[in-house]
Amino acid sequence: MNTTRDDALRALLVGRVTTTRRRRWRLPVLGIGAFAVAGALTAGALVSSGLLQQQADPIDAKSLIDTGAAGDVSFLADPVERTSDSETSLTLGARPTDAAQVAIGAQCAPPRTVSVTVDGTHVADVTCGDAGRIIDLHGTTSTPTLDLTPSTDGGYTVWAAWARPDPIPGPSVQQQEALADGIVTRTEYLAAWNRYLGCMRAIGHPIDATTQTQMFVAVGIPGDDYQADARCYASEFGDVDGVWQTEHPSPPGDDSFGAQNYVPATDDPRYAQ
Amino acid sequence: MGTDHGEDADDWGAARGGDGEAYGRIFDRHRERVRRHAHRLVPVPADADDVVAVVFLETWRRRDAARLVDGSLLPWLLVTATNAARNITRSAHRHRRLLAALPPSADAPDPADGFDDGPVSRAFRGLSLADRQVITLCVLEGYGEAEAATVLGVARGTVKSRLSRAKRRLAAELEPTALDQTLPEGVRS
Repeated sequence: MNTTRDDALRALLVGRVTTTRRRRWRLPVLGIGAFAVAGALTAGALVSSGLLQQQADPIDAKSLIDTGAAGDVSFLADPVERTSDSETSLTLGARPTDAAQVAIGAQCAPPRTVSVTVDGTHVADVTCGDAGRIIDLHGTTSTPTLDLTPSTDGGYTVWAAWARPDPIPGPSVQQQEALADGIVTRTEYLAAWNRYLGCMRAIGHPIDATTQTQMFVAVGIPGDDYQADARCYASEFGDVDGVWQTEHPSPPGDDSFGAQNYVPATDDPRYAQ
Repeated sequence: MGTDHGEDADDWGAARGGDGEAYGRIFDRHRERVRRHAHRLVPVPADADDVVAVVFLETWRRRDAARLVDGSLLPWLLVTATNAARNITRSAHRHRRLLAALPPSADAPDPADGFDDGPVSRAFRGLSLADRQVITLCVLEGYGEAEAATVLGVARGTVKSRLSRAKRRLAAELEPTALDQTLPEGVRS
């Protein structure tokens, strides 16, 4: 039997998922990305030359981290990568102290996924060309081997490195104040949204968003802005957004609910202020 | 171990693509199972309700780490509940503003209809986190060692040895009189 709290929690969860932008880091953009893409594009040539099964030299990750290219993940060791056209494996370097997670990504053409298995246990499916992701390898050996199986044959490159996700900032003082009384008004909602836009502008990732008349404000986030979005959203808007959507739950199956024109004075006087 | 095989995998994939209703269906499917487990973990009903909320919020927040077993997210949810309940005050802190926005928990149930808080539950809560994780999956919920290994991210042999030790510790926690009561199947072995 559903309780009121169950219904509210469900609406909150649905809202969180719907509004969550995909967190990703732009790791493949510079050094590794250039290498990985090159590896994928030249896979055919490498197959014929028999070089695909060679373990590549570790790539210097520090320069990526220093330039910010690693985004919201910090490497704890140099990445390693491997290019292949079929099943292969990739052995990580020695596990740094307390390291338990590995950042991993793949590039390939045509697009496909690469299944990653460690000690016989499937741990992830990595989509080529997608952003890197973190996998948890606590409890495995000190130098675990990642067994890689592509969904279809063809050249692909996988890179991996011991890593630690960077902490996402907590909510700003203004966001905390907006939530202090347990209710998010329309004014507080839009103020938080505008602080988010200001945050994105301030760190060099302006978002083109002019419409503020919908029930739920919405904007597309270009891929290059995901990293900035993750931080600005958490700092300025995330919790307020979650509470606002909890206060205004979408009817089941109504995908257009959030896009409806919102007239607080007549439609929603409790939250109009 | 449920009939959600495949459904969870489809819904989890859809949720990760931004389909909130898909995550809502996972919540519908497993909410009560997680709640029953939460009541085993924390004696205060309101805390158990917070555990349920934290489990689903944390599972989404840490979605990159979540592991499905045979297409089911339930084992991951149960382990997340075990972890969250270890210190519900700290676990809830991260989500305190969202929890505060939820209606209060329903009135406490009649003790006669309440969840078990007997010696086994108390002994269970006295175990270490690692012991509770493996007892939860392999004894209370009936998952196999291989399935538990997948969820916990450890080798199957590690689960086997942890389980053996955890059973011994659980038995040691129980008074002789309690052994005659509601000991879950498998704990005596």
